Amino acid sequence: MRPLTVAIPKGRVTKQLAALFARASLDAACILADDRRLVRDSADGRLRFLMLKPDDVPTYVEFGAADLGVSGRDVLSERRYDLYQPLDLGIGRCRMVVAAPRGAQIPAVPRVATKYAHIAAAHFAKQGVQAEIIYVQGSVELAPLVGLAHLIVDLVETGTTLVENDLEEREVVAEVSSVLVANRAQFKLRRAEIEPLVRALRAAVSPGLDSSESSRSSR
Amino acid sequence: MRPSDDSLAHPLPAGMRDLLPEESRALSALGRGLMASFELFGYQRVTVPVFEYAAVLERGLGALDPREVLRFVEPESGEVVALRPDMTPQIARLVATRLGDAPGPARLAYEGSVVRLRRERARRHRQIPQAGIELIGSAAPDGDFEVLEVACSALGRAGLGQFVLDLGHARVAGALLEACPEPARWGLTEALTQKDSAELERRAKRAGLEAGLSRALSALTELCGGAEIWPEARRVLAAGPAGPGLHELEQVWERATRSQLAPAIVVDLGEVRDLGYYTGVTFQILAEGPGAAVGAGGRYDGLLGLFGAPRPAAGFAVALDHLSWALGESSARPAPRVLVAGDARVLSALRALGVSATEAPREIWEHARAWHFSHVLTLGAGSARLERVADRAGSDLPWAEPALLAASVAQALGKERNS
Repeated sequence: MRPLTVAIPKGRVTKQLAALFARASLDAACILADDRRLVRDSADGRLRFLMLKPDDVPTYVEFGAADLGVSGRDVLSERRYDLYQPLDLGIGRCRMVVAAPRGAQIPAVPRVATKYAHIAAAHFAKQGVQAEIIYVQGSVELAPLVGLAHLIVDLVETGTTLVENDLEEREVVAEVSSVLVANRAQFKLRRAEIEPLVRALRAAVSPGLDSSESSRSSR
Repeated sequence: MRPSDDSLAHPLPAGMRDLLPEESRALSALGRGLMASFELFGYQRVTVPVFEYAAVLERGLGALDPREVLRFVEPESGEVVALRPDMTPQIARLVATRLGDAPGPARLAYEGSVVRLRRERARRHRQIPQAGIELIGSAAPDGDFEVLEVACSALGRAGLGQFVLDLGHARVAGALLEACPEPARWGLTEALTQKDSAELERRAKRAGLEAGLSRALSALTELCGGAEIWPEARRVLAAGPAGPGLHELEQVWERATRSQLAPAIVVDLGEVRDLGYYTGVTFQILAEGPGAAVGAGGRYDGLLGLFGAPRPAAGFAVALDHLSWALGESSARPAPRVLVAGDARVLSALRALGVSATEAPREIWEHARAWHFSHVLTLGAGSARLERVADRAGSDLPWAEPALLAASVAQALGKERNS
């Protein structure tokens, strides 16, 4: 049987993820290796990592090509997937926000540029605002500066990009963090391996989770 | 063979597909095998229509999401009809309207495709071939056990060696969720479905759930496993609304474990199945490969009543696509198909012996490979040669009149198959 396979999002959270795995005494140093291998096995041969674009992680896991994966709540709620999400890893924390040019008046039917068309549509529908959603792939901050849109819905980690483009945060749509996702069938078929792994990760996550809980309640 | 450029000019609707001979043969053999296994337990085949009045299907399934079901207006009546997304409500209707007077229990089996569109998921198949059974008029826990036994036995006979039987109960999570305030229920259900304990706790707090209920819901995300979960499950759940369901599930679990129904048996109290009609024990069968259940079923004691003939019932269906994925290459070798060149008289003699025989066109070997023939029989003046298409290994057969020659071909094929 193949080793337990974990889909890893390449990019922003890879480093934090490697640190988290290390704290959980799981051998995942190979995901930091500076090469182009897409499939990487841990030194002890017990874990296999697939290095993927973040948006592709849930797809690999839903089909069972990977048993587990790490995915942001932004990706998971933009397209609904049929997965288990047994553990919030507490890393990759950021906010999904509505932002606008500083001080701008927003019309009753705003145009909204975003990479997260479904999340944005649901957010404005819930408020009873008719918004025209414009899908863009990246550099979302540009859209209101050149008149493509009045508002943007995007992820914000520190807010620097917003400030540098003279945009301001108007509302928080959702808190985002990375979660461990699991294939619904593999979660039970390989329970003997997955259960201890989840337990180890949970123990490694807990201190981080506690501090974030308190910061959230004090906000 | 290369697809012609016309395949782009004549596209299929999203999610629909053709099955070419090999795949089609394998899938129908799989379906036939399952139906034969169901028949061993006394389940008789029925066939239900491919579309029905949406109002009838909705009676069983609840409001159909128009984005997940194909509906159209039937010109004859002007009524909205839907392509069946699920055959169980149809069988319930059939039993209630046509077999209501027959002494129970009714044991019925079916085979066919259902049509479902799952939006925004990675899996988007629309046409899903299924084979299943319904046991109508048999109550828990005996009826549950019978359905589990048929399911496990049929999959075993189909060649599935390693699989996990995953047991749950609709009135464990269901009973707790019903006790939650309506506006929060949908979000709590979704978080529980995903075993997302962090999100579940967040939503429970926001909804102001009473502490005992909130604790019980959180516990469900963890109560998944083997025998070890029962003490904790009883401690947290037995006194609450989930108590009766838990007790019923434990009875069925004990019996299934004692009879070693499956290579592995797991209980998952947090499983929330998306079909609304389940009222009792639910289960799915999992195997390496497809990453999704190979088969699933459960008890639906309320469904028949909706069609005017209340009685307990349970059933299950196999997803043939997923089963064939899980079986992989281990499926049985197809029967030989012989391409005959040179003398057409042997054709009917071979067919009389039950051997598939086809007259060869001019390009014998190209044709044989393209259309998956297993053997070529070349007949000349006084000679007969039978060759395997795969490696062209062959043997000369003694020339004889057609009936005798056919007999020696059949014998050679039989010997090769048994070797």
